[in-house]
Amino acid sequence: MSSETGFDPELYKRFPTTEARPKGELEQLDEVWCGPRRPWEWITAINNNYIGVYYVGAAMLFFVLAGVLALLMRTQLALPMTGFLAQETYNQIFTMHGTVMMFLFAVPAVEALGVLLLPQMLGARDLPFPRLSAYAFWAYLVGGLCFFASLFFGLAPNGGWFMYPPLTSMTYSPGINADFWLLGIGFIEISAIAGAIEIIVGVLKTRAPGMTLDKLPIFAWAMLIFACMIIIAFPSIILSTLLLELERALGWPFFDAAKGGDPMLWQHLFWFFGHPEVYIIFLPAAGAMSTLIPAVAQTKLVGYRLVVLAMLATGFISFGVWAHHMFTTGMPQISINYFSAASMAVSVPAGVQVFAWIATLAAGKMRFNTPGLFAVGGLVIFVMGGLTGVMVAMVPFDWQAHDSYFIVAHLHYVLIGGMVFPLFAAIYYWTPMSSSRPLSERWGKWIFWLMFVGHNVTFMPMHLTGLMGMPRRVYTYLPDRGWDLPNMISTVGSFMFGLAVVLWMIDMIRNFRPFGEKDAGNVFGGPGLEWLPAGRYSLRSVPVIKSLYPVWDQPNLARDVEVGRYFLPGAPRGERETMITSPINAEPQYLQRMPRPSSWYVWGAIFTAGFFLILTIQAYVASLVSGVLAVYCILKWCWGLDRPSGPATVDVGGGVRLPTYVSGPSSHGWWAMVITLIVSGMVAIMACFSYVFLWSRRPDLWQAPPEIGSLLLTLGLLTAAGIGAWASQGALKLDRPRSAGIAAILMLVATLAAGGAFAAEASAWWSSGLRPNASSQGATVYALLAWQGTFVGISLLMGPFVLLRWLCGLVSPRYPATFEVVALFVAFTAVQGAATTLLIRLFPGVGA
Amino acid sequence: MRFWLLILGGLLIWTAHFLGLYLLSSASDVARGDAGAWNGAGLIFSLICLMVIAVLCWRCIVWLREKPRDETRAFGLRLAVAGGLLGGIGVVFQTLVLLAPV
Repeated sequence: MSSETGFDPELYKRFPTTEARPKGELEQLDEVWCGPRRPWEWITAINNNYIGVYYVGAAMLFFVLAGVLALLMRTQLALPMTGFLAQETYNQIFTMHGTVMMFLFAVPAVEALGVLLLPQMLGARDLPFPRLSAYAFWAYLVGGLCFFASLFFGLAPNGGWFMYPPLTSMTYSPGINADFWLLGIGFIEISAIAGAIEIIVGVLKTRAPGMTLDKLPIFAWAMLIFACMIIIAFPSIILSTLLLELERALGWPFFDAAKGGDPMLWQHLFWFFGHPEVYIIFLPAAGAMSTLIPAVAQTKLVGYRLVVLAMLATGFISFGVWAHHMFTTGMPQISINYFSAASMAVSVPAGVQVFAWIATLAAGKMRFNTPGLFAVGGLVIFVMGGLTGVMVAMVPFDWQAHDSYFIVAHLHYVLIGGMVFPLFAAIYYWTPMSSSRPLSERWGKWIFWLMFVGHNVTFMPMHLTGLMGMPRRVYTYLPDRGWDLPNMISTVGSFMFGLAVVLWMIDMIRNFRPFGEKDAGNVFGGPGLEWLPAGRYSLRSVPVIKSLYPVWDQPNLARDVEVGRYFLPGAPRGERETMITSPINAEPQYLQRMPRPSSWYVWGAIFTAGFFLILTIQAYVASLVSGVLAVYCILKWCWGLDRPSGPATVDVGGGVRLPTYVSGPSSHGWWAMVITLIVSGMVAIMACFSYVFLWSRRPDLWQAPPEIGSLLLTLGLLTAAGIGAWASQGALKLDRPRSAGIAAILMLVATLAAGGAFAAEASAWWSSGLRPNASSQGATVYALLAWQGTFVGISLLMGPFVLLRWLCGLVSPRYPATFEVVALFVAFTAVQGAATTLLIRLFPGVGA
Repeated sequence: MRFWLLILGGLLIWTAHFLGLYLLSSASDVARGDAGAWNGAGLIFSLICLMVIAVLCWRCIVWLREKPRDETRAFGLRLAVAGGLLGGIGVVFQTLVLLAPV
């Protein structure tokens, strides 16, 4: 094998080692990775074994809550003209059902599965940013619970889970219900993005040595693609919620046709996120299916390479189908045809995966245990949903079925078959790994059949109800339309499904009881590293991977790993550590020092949630205080970062020595910053799209930009900011006596230049007479400026932060990691500012 | 980065092609010009994309025949070929829209 980093692959031959491990090594590892000992420590825990379980538990809690809302709706619709729920309550309940299922259950559940499983699966001690995982989890839980609680005060959103304006504009939704959705969901998506960053860096940088891309577990591939899709898709929903909230709060007319706005812009932005969202939740579930089906069938996955390709292709093509939710909006016919073609094309990679699963089941010996049943059941339901998906991809049929119960049936077949059943299969399959105790097989089979039959009894008749003309989102219907019987059948089915979920909850509570025997082992004969004996530190030692199915193909692996014959058998520096490897060949690069629990990220999450949620009720001062406290907590958290300690290199086993500190593209922090900047860049790109789109709607409302002199001043300052940021890190690397001080001052100057550029540009536009609430041009120009202003604000915090670190002696040429990521951020701010400035100044041209 | 570009090449070209066609159709809508001319531009763009995919696949097949230096590279090349074929099918599928009568 050729080397990616200069690491000699011959060193792998030293493993498994033969010499005995030092006495007390395992005890020290156990102590370093100890679990919570005091009650408060259960909240500040950061290890994935805790956060992952909390995360899955919270997601399933929201699944149950949204399920209860579904049962309320089905009770209301069981008979015509019933008064079980008032119309407004029904509107809030169907909005919350969709919103909670999509935003608080589906995405977090699969993200949670990743946080829980990936470290063990990849052979890492933990994911690289455990505090970020904890922050994302607590922000999600606190934000999600407060958001759900709005239902109890009659303040829940009521405009549907897609919140189309003008229905959700201030004119038609004057209360704060819509604001709860806009601020709550926008905030929760930030938490999802934090999780995605963790997963991308985790999969690319914390794999066991030798786990090259062709030996990467299929679930890890799925999680990698899933997280990349989040990075590309979610900025769109963040932007759209910001724009609608700006319109509602400040009257900036992005979607108000009277002032040049266009409600279609919302649909484009929402569905650019919303349709990939379906695949975002499908892919990890598909990854779980591709992992557990080989275990169920006791044979290797048929077509591993093609399944990887199919997942990659799904990731790409799913971004080309957003407008298939908009076939009835009057888009140009040729555009509709492109989206129709892409909607049919996306079924090809999904089909490849389905055939791979069927072929694997056929090639092996299918065992009808509970995970197997859920996998096959999910497959059947998903294929049925996929077929109706091809039907609605055809424009003439979609025109007929749009907004009818046929679509409700289709989307539930896709989502339940593509995500819920695989998730239950995954829970049954991996619970023995997590709790060391399998769930009941007898109960599991009852639960499966109740759920499978319940699902089909609920949703199969909805195809007919829809074709008979029943529209979606109606709170009741008249008798003698022929809808009574299918609605009653659907309601009976939904309660069967509900009963299955209740039985599953009882079994889960039974399973996680804190007493009784706990020694399940590899119950289903799984082939992955997650089935090796493990503790809170994950695997005792990190093995060299030689196969895609290491537990099946590498003899004595479990024994050798358990006695510490591979990499990192202990804690060489007496701290929490994990090995960072290269992204393609997984060659060891350095030893990452992992954080220990503290409370800053928990408080940071609570205050961040507080900032957004208090803003909803328009208590601006309290919200501001919460925001300032959140920033303080996050800065406090960052203050402890990048503090190298101990020797420069350590022995990680077999005489292999690794550095304990690196910076630049080799370091995990650099990768995280780059991904964060991609997210920000995507928001800016979508905002630029909004600008051009709104111009194309009403070019007659566009006024000339400010005079060219101010443009030159803005660009000059931005260039100074960019060059200053890069020069500052260059100055630090020179390693001269005054390097650190010069670098810190250069960075401060760079951030001030960025601030000056922002002030100059905002002032130029204000002087030109353009106002944000006057026209769509004003709204988009000031929105772009506000986005840039946010980055400038963060840069202006970073400048003094770096200066303070220098004054405290924390900036050194030998430890430039913090400095490098700050330089990246400031340089990005400058580039983003220059790009958006050029767009709003030069397009569509002077005096358009 | 080159390795990733190779693996994802076919799918990236599909993306560029899709966005290109969407931009052309949007521009045609805004300009309200001759639809046939815009379709012609779309067809030429599609042909270019197909040629790039063909070159990518051919190059990867040649590298595969030269016996790659390790399994991971071979894996990447095979993915690139399959991704190129899938991307090509997608490009052809999208291009069919342009062949419909104006």
